[in-house]
Amino acid sequence: MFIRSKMTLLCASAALALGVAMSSGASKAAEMGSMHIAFGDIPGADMLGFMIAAKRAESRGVKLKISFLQSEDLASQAIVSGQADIGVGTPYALIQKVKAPIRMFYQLSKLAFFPIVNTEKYKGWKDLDGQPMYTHARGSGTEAIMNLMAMKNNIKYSAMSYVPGSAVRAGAMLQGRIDATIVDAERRTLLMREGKGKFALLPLPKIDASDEALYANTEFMEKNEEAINILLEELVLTWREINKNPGYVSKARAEYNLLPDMPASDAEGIDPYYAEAVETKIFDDNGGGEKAILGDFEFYDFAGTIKGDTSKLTVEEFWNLAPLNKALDKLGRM
Amino acid sequence: MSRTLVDSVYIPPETSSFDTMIIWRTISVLFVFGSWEIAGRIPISIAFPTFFETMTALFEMIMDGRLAHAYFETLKPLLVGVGISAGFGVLIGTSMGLYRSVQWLGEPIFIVMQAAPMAALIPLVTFVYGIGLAAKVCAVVILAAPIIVLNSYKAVTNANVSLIQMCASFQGSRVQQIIRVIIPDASPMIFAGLRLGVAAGFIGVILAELLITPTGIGDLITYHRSVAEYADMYAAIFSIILFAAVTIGLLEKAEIAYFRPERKKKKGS
Amino acid sequence: MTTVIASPTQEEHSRVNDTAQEIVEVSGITKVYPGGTVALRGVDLAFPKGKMTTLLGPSGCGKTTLLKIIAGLLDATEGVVRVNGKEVSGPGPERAFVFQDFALLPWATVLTNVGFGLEMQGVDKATREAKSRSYITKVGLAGFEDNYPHELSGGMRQRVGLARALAVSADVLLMDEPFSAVDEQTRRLFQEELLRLLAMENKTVIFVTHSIEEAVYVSDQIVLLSPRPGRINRVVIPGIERDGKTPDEIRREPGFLDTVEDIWDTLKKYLDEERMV
Repeated sequence: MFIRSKMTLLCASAALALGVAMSSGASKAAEMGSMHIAFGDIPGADMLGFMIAAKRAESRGVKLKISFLQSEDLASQAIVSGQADIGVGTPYALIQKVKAPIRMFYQLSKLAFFPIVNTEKYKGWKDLDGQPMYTHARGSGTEAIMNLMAMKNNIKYSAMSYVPGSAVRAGAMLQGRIDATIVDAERRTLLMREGKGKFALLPLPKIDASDEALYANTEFMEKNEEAINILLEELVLTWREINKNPGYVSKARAEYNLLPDMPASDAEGIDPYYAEAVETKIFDDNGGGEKAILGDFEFYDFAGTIKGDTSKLTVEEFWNLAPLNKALDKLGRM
Repeated sequence: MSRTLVDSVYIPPETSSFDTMIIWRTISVLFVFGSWEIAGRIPISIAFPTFFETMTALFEMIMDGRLAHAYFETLKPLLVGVGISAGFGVLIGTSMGLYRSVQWLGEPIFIVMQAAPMAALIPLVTFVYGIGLAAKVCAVVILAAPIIVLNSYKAVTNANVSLIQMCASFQGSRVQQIIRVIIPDASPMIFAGLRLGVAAGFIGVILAELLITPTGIGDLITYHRSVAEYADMYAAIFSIILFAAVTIGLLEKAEIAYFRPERKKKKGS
Repeated sequence: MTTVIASPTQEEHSRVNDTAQEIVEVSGITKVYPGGTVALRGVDLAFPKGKMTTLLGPSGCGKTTLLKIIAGLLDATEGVVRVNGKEVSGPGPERAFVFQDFALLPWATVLTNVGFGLEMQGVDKATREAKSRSYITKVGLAGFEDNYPHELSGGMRQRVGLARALAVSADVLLMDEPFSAVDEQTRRLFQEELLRLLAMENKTVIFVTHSIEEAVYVSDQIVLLSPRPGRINRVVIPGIERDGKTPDEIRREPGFLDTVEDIWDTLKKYLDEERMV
């Protein structure tokens, strides 16, 4: 859900080439058909986990192709219209409001965002009463978190402004244009390091909601059961591997030659990024599952993404957990 | 000298039945909206609402004040940006047409600006102007100004030589020549440039609201898209198209009323 | 009755010069356009006061160029223009121009257009309008004061142009093919009116045309120019008895017909020469 401003376009083209390589590489799996995956963002370090799992699935005969689209909305439209098969995002609104024939089936990551303030102006939540706030976009997770905290602390922001991209908001913090915002883990570390003690994180209760999930057209899932199962098994195994050893990502990146054109400075950020991600527990060993979904209902209802009475919502309306359960039955639950 | 000597008097062509025009225009509008309704009912995409749903959403947005609030936000950068572009644009363009040195100074800049895909530069505007009002105003100006400048410049350069000579033959000063002949003669093309400039300004402000920070109409579009409320999204898009068309139409009316009395009379007769 | 003079310097234009003094004189006018085209070379001419002189010649002989140099709208490469004995280097209040394409402001009414010259001279609005109205009536456009040029026919538009030139009370009217954009009937009516108006106003007129008949019909003297570079070939003084005759009778006059024939012979030679080249 955040924009990686540092990533170069070169990287994007290289990744597209990778997609092509992936689709042509698996000859023995021709009978299994191919899966076209659409990311709603430009390629970045956070996608490496998925790319590793994809490479591993490929070696088991699954044919994969990855495209990087401009936005999550575009990616979801591509899935709905059948131009791509598997999307990345949390399309709750799309499913609920226009009855899009898609279901989510694997939680890639949980929301992990960090409210941060300039201590020269604010010390705690209460100081933000009557102050301007900056979040990613209307209806986004970042806005929902900040509004939730305002409600819990009984304060009110003077205005909510939308500045898409954690990197952009972090830049504005460093330049002193804004004094309070919410950023992702990567930018939290950056701000704490570059701010030289000027910035402080505000306490946040644990928020259990999906940031990114895999979803697909229901018809596609029925027809490609076997391939999806292989992909899910490799995803679960890769996620568990990363949780055990975050350094696995850069090793596997070298092994599979993933995002080869990534600038060295960005590549150096891979290890710390995954170490942090694991530390903040954004990768679930069991692919989310039912308990993650109930957390989503609550959070996305608050965010305004889901409308109506959440107690009446059923998991089946939004998710298809059968393939994941099948994979977990085989691999065992942790 | 008697009036009998006056030769054939100009008779304006009959406004070949006003009613026929109305009928055809209505058919044109009905055709577009009808096709929209049908396309929405098929549906061509789950993200494409029917015309009726869109109008319902538009009505709701008008009634609950969301639209008014959005326009209040969008109009700020639009008005400031178009104001700057129009004021300075006409001034610079006219000066380019009148003075060689200004022409040589300005021509390369504005021709490149007009030819270049300025919309692609909007995200870069944030590096200089940040993410606030200034960036959006700048986006409007970089899209609107070149066309206004170049049209004014060309209009003045192509001002009727015969009229300029006529003015000179009656010992009109340079200032009289500019004010009484060149500018009025150039005004149709200057206004054409202003209309195009305002249209470009609309593009600029919407791009800025989509690409820089979502506010106003851009926010309505992105927000409703992100939460899959497509009828609301199309309602916002429909409203801005309608608003732009009406604004440009009014600009034409203003031009005729204040600068082209002879055309006003022609239309009225 | 036609008097033909080999050169205008031979001061024997009896009819013209008996009483008249020369209000406009050009001497040694040469015009070279950028690019080297020589439009006029060494033109010496005198225009007698209160008379109508026509500059006639094939296209490209520089007649309009000469007129615009006299008007001060073009600079001569060499030579001088004198008006009332004074050298001039630009437009002046003693000369008014009537344009071939009328040069009316399309966004202004007949009244404003006629008053334009006065406006440029700083005449106040009330005086300007009163004067304009009187000239609009004189050229036969009363009732059209509030019309716009596009509502008028070509002939009516040129009346506006004429009224504008008359309104500034210049001594010399410079007319550049004023009837060329007008149909033949209108043209003839217009010529009559012009002669009548000029008789009332006592103006000196320098008139450019490419119509031999028109030149012969309206002029007191006709200056025939040779093709590029324009030089003075002959000055012809048509001797036509007008008194008590209708326009059609005048056009059937032997004097009229002979003069037309005579000029045509001269111009035909140029055409033949051109064809040889």
